[in-house]
Amino acid sequence: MRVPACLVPGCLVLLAACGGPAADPSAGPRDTLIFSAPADATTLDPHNTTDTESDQVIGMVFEGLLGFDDKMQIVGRLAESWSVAEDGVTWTFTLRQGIRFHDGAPFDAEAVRRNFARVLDPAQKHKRLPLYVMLDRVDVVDPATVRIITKYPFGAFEPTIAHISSSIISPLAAERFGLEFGKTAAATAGTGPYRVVSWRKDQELVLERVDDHWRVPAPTRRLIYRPIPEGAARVLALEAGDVDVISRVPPPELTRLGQSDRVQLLKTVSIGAQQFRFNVTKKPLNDTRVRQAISYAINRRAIVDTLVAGFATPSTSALTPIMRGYANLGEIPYDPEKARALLREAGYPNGFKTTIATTPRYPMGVELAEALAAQLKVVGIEAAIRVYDWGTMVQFWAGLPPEKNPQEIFIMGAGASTADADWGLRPIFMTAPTNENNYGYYSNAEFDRVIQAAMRETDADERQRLYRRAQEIVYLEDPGAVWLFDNQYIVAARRGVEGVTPSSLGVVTFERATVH
Amino acid sequence: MLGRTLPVLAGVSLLVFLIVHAIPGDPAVIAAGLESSPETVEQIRRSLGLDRPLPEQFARFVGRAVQGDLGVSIRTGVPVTEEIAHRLPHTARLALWSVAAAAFFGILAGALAAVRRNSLLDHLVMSATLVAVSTPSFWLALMLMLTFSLWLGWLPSIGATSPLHYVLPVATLALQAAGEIARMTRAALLDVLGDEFVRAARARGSSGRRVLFRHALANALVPITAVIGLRVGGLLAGTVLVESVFAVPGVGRMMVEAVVARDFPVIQGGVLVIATLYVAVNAATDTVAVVADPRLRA
Repeated sequence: MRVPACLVPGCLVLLAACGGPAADPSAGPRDTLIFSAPADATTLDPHNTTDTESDQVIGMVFEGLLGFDDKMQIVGRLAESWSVAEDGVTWTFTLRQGIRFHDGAPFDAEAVRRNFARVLDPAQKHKRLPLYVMLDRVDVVDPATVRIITKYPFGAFEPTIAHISSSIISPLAAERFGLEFGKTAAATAGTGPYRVVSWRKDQELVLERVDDHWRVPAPTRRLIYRPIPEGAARVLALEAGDVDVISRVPPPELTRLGQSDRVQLLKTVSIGAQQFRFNVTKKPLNDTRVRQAISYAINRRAIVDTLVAGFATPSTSALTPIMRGYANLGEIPYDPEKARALLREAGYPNGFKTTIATTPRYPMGVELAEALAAQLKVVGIEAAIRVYDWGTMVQFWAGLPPEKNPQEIFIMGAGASTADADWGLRPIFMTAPTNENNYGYYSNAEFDRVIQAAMRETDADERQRLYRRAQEIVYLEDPGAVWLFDNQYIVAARRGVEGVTPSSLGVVTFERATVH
Repeated sequence: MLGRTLPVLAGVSLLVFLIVHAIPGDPAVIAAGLESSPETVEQIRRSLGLDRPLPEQFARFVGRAVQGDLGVSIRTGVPVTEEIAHRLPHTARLALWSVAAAAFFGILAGALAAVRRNSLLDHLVMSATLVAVSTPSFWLALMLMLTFSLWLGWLPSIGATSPLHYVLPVATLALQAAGEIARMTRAALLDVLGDEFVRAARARGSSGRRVLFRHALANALVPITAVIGLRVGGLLAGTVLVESVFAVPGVGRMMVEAVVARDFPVIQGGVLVIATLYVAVNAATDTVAVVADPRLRA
């Protein structure tokens, strides 16, 4: 292999310092798998997690009453069976028996009750409280039966109980560590197939298989989670064999890695979609026709093919196909003529000036904004691009009243972590006085009515019909955003790694992984 | 010594405090995450004391800092001193080895070039140092990884679990400094080698090596240590990047993540620690200069 000439001075410094070649012992299945993501977990407390990196570890260490399988179907985990009463608010769970937490505490109905009491306790300041506003109380019927009662019939109850934040933690550890739970390896105990043995921040977090786990006999004994912030370095470490699996592959590397004989790409559809949202309080974006015009002026196919190298699919609705409640409304065609006609109708025959706010935190965030601006220019809309760092961007989305928010069109990579239409639409597009989660102040009376009805609807068919209507409104009739494409969740693994499954929620399942 | 250090650190603290609060971005919002409610955000803001007036916040920070308490990380809820304590050894090791490597190779190369002035070796060394000082470290880091980890397979690419892991990050950090030190050494030596006392030493029959080390290098050491001392600041700044690329769990990388998350206590604590280090190193190089140059002893 030839070394670029410009590296030579670097080698002078180096050669003196390094010894012989590092040995690479690899034959037969290995008992350790090393996984690398851009950042370390911030907490191992399921009731307090809001980032994917923490979810990744929590998902291996904890289990909930319910969970999602690889196809995002809801399955029983710690609950053997469950049912809802006629009243639509009383849910009865029959629990699996004989399960113990990693610290030895038994899993039973009392543990479940104490978990939800902890989630709902305002003194604990848990970040996930908003997910559980519909919870009324949890009753212990007997050690193997628990009853969860909601304040009103809630259509998305099961996905909420399957959500990672509904994971059950050891009541013993919860009591012992209080607010310190999940901050260190020792202060973490769940029922999952792996337990945390050590955690050196930003360096490595080591998980060890629980032998005789009730659900999965995991083939690989140790999982090491080693964060590498820099995307290019993550790819290099994978190719050099220093790590086995990486997440968040930089999009420009995908095509090359897909053809590599050392690396395999594993893909699944994500709950997340890349979109640019409208601030509907800004002129002329307050006009439905203008927003429709922008939507028709965007060539989504071209963006998918060039910027993400085909590793995504053009959007077909305001939700992604893997989500409960999704309705396929078709791709919005690229039609600049129609866009111009709509602009004329709205009184902007010569277009107008606007701004697009974006952040490099999203993969290709700046490039996407540039592509959008270039395509808008074709129909006469002059969009200036404003690039912000993540902290500043979030500031705009933090409960500001419209007059204080300068953003007009802004990037958003949204995905509801319950994989359900309720969480994917209600907080984001239902009328709200500030942009607490409705960052574009979207407001549509019919949409509000439909969403509220759907939220309390427990009949599956009727629920689906209502959510379809809601998507028609916000996606086609009165657009709240330009939906560009549904993301794929892609991880790259060394060849020889098997049984690793990326989940639509943006985490990787390692419980059936083997490494050769 | 202390009389000079304390005002510097107080000034740094105030500056960082002001900068951190002047840049847009609300740590409570970021900590709460995008799916949370305004009530949660408000609760977090209150619990962090971010709803208090700025002078009060600063007074509280200083009051605690002098007792060795730098507050609690917003992102992780762990005390900042603890966060720094895990990471400081990595950054210190990285910086120390880089300074040592840069000084050793820099002085060696510079001395060789000066002794063989205008020879092919001199030209080679000088062109190499020019490349060294102009190579962007981000690019260099990836190229070193590509060459020594991926192609040759000699060194681990990322991490900090063995001494071998430090070779590439140290090389990345040291290269630029080594180039600068080499150029400074050559210039300083040439300056001294032309002086009369060197000629006098030669006339007395001292060996070439003795003249170089005992007479010339000892006299050239003052400007060289000054450059090394100044470069330490650059090295510490460089760790921010190098630690991120090579996934070394040091203070620099912690700072990057803290800035993104607007984790005020961690940013303030981190800067304070780095500033202390910088001041300490410069005090140390001043001391070395005094030892090397009797004229500076007052």
